Amino acid sequence: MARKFLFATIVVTTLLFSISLWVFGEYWIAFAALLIGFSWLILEYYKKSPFPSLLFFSFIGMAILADFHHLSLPIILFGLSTDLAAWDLSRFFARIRETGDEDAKSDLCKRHLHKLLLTLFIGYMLALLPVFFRLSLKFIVLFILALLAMITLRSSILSLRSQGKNTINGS
Amino acid sequence: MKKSFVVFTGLIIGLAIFGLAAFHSNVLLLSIPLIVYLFSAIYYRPEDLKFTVSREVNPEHAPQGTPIQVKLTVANRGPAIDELVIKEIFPKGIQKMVGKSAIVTWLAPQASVELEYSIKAVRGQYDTYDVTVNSGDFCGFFSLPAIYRTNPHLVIHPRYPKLDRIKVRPPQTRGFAGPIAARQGGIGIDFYGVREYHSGDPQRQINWKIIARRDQELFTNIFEQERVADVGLILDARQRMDVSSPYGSLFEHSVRATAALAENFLSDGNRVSLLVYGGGLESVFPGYGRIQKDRILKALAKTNPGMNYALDSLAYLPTRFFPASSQIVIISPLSPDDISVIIQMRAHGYAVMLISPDPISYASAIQNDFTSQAYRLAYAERDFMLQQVRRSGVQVVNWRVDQPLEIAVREALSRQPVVMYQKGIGI
Repeated sequence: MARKFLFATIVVTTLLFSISLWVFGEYWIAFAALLIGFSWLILEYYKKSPFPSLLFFSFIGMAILADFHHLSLPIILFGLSTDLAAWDLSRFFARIRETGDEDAKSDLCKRHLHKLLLTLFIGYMLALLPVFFRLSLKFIVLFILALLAMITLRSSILSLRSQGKNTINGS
Repeated sequence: MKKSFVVFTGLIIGLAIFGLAAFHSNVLLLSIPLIVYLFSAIYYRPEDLKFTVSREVNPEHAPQGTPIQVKLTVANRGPAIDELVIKEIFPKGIQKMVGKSAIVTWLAPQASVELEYSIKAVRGQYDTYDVTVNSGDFCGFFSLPAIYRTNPHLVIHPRYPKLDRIKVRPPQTRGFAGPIAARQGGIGIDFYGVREYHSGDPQRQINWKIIARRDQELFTNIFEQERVADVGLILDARQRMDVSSPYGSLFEHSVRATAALAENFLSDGNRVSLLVYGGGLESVFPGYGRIQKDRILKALAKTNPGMNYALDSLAYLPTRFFPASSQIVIISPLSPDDISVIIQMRAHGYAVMLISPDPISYASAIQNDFTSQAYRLAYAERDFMLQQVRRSGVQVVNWRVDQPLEIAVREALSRQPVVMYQKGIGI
């Protein structure tokens, strides 16, 4: 299941970026996207992933290029999310390839997929918010807001983790 | 924290800087899914691991080559772990046969995971058995490895051949009935002598042939008593006496022979002790029966050839460890400077038997060289050495380890010691 999902994410990412770049007249880069995607697919099919990060970064570069050509942001974000999913799954399968029995693996895959999809969905939705709610901020205000957001996020993560710990100790 | 975490964080920072530098807000937005992914990894990262690791080994005592079942249980006493990699670290000498010795899974709080597999092990005592437990987050950015040590007390003793009864004749025996001729008249099977009739002697023991030649005198047959004896086994574990190759070592054969002899003497009811002379002095005090056999096998399981300058020669052998006039069995490849020690032991009144695994033929078999001048010289020297030992009244078994021990023992001990043979023909 998770493996099919990996292939699907690679295909979607490749098609999305190659078609959109082709439409914008970036033929060579579109062709490169197709080539990179195809290589990634072949490598994953033969259970070899020597440089998934490089392939992932290539598609991020293409996402930036597509953004410069004013491709719709939801589409770019979708492509980026599928790219991130492909990269994550590729690394995940490389980690579990050596060890384990199939039953434990399938259970682990299901759980991993569930968490990954949830994370990507939240990320996608959060990234879409500024598309619909545009605010004009000064740079310094934006910087302070980002700083505050990071501090809040960190403290909330820490408090959530300690909450989880207390529940375990109490049981 | 792994390298991928640093790279990923660098990517996010790079995107943010690029977006700001290019005045392109959408590039900044592209980093949002990545930031969420990163924070998700931080949130789920493993922290404060609490595992209880237990291992069951069945059987704990077994002869070499026996399949042994191992069951490892890892229970999580902490928070849930997204990715848990459990991998057994096999101690040197242990080899997995079937089953799973590694697993990657996730573990809920208070849940446990089991690994079951079978192993085979070479001779030895295995007191420590490690397992690596590597916990990680689902993104693979953080990893917390830990090694847990278990103490299974696994003892693999040598697999030894079954020997026919070995006839020994020590000068002194013990009080209990057994298979060894005690050089004393009494109840037994073998004829020992004749004495005057005492009232109460059974009629069937009266020697009618002598009575026929005498007037009014009665004589009774007496038989040789059969008793158990003290047998001391000495295993030569000096490093310099060992010949080892990638296929095995001569010492392993010595250990197997010692185990076979211990089993043989103990099953006859004798009191057996063991002394391992090598890197140190390992001893098992005299005892009877199955418990003593287990003690000896346990001592043999953990013995290894060792180097000790103080024990380089057999001259420092603590012979007082063995009861006076008892049977001593030395298992040693033998070096020329050991001959005087063995002769001295014989002179002190011990009955000595030497089981000598042949290092010359063993080394030649490894080199596949039975024709060279060196081989012939070494063989002649060894032959001369064994003859010297034999002449002092020691029973010698020159054992070429490529042939079974029982055959070597049967062939060698069916002959009388040379010194007695020579006396018999009047030399």
